[in-house]
Amino acid sequence: MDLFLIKALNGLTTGALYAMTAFGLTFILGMMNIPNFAHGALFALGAYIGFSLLGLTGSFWLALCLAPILMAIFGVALERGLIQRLYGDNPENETYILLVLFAVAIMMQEVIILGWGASGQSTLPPASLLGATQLGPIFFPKYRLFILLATLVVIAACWLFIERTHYGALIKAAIDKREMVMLLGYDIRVLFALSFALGTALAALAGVLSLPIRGVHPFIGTDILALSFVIVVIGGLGNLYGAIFAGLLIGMVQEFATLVHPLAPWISVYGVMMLVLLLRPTGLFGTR
Amino acid sequence: MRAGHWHFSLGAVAVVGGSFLLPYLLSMSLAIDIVILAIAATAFNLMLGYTGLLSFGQAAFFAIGGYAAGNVLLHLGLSALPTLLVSGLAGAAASAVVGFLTLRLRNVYFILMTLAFAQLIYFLALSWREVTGGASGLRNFPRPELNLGAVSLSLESTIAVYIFAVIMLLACLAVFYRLISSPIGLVLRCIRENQERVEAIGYPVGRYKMMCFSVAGAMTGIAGGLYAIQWLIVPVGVASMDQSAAIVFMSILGGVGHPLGPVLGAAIYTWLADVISVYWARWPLLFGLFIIVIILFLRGGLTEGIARLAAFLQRTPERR
Repeated sequence: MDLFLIKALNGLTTGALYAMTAFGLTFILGMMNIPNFAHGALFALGAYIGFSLLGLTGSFWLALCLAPILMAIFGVALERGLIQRLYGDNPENETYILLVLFAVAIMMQEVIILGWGASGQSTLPPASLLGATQLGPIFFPKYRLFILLATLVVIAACWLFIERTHYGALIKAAIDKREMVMLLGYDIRVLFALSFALGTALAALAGVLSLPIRGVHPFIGTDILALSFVIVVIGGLGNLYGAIFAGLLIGMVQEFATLVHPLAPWISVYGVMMLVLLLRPTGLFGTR
Repeated sequence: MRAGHWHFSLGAVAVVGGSFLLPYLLSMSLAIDIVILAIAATAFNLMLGYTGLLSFGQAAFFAIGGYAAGNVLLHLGLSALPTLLVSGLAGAAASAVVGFLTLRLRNVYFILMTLAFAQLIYFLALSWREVTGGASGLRNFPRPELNLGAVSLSLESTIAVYIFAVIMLLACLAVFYRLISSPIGLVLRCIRENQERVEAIGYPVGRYKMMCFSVAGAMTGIAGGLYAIQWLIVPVGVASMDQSAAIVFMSILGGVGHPLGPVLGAAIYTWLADVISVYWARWPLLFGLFIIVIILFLRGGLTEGIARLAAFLQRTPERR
């Protein structure tokens, strides 16, 4: 029973980070209909910047807050400076935007290797979150609890933003019917930039949060990218929040699969994906 | 149709001529790599340039073809052509499975899933050591002979492998040309332009896409088999995302949509990678930048650049 509880909490913790990343991806995908092929690289770069900020300032909290902001600025710059040149009515443009994002991801990976070396990095949790705390019958690391809490807070904040603010409503509307929002007189470019910034910030935040528990290395981007794509498809196409559930699910599946076999985690992830594709191609909560 | 035949002959001459020239300009092993990747890039072209399907996972089928060939050579000792047949069938089978699960998704999600499946197959290759040799790769299999019934040619010398690879490239290009200039090719191009309309007219779009994906998978598998025959090792890296990205980028570089674009792109990319990587290990940084510039300014790749240059040079003053 204790093992089950620990496993469940561990699964939720990794799941929370996956959910956060995938939620950011769904945002960009829903808003701009672009699969952000640089999402994994943004996760990695965010983590590395957080690592450096931690080294520079010694404060994990500062790194945690500043890295996503810096990455969001980078995301907006990327979107405004590069991606927007490729917008157009031609559906082929989607392919090219995707390719440009992938090229950017490769460049980012090389930059990471140039800046931080090819081996991985990791850090310790901040002093206030070291050690474990007692939760009923078990002891559980404080930092992992923090991750769960932080993810909850962040997702709740995003929900509040989307469901209860004017801009959030605009974003929801634009995801649903972009031309209509444009016809109503709103500058869609602001919404695009905002969405891209938010998606990037979420990925970067997840990256920094994951530093003490999984570390980061230059090639983690591809893994995170593939995993995020799987989560988005499982969670459901056209549904913003489905990705959160799917992320948590995948985290749990991975965690419990290690009980079976060391290699079972990824087999089970892709197994779930194939099952969903077979039985419910629109995803678990998909609407289209 | 006459124009089509004329272009085909010209293309064949260009490829054959190029393949004569290549070993003099570059090392033989580099030339063989170019030919092998040209086959994979042509398969990619069939998918993206002619059907509008972007697959980010072609390396998976390349690797599967290679592993199939390696295992067949190791355990059954087949000769070259049956080995490549097995590679092709393996590639086709794998792409049929992936296609069955993913082609019914909307285009954007199809692209995501090709990447996901490619990662799946990469992990599979890393873990299934009995079949793939794991991280150290599949090795210790013999190079096959080329058994043509009456006569059996040895492929031991690199030049023999090169000629064999070039013949396979020409065969694949012939199949490719035949396909794209046929009514099937026309339907594929229509699917690229407006899938819903083709469906509305009554064509079984799903089946056409499946066929295209399987043919591309078979070709890529054959390329993988050739790789195994040439290098006598199938490292796990051939299934990696880098390899998929390389196939995508070299096709874009050469010009997707033109039948020979990716062949040119494979040549330029492989040569550049070989030359620049000596000086700077971080050369993908430059190449990523290069791809972005191409997508922004010269979307049709090098073939578009050549066409524009030719058009520019053809303009005489009195025509203006």
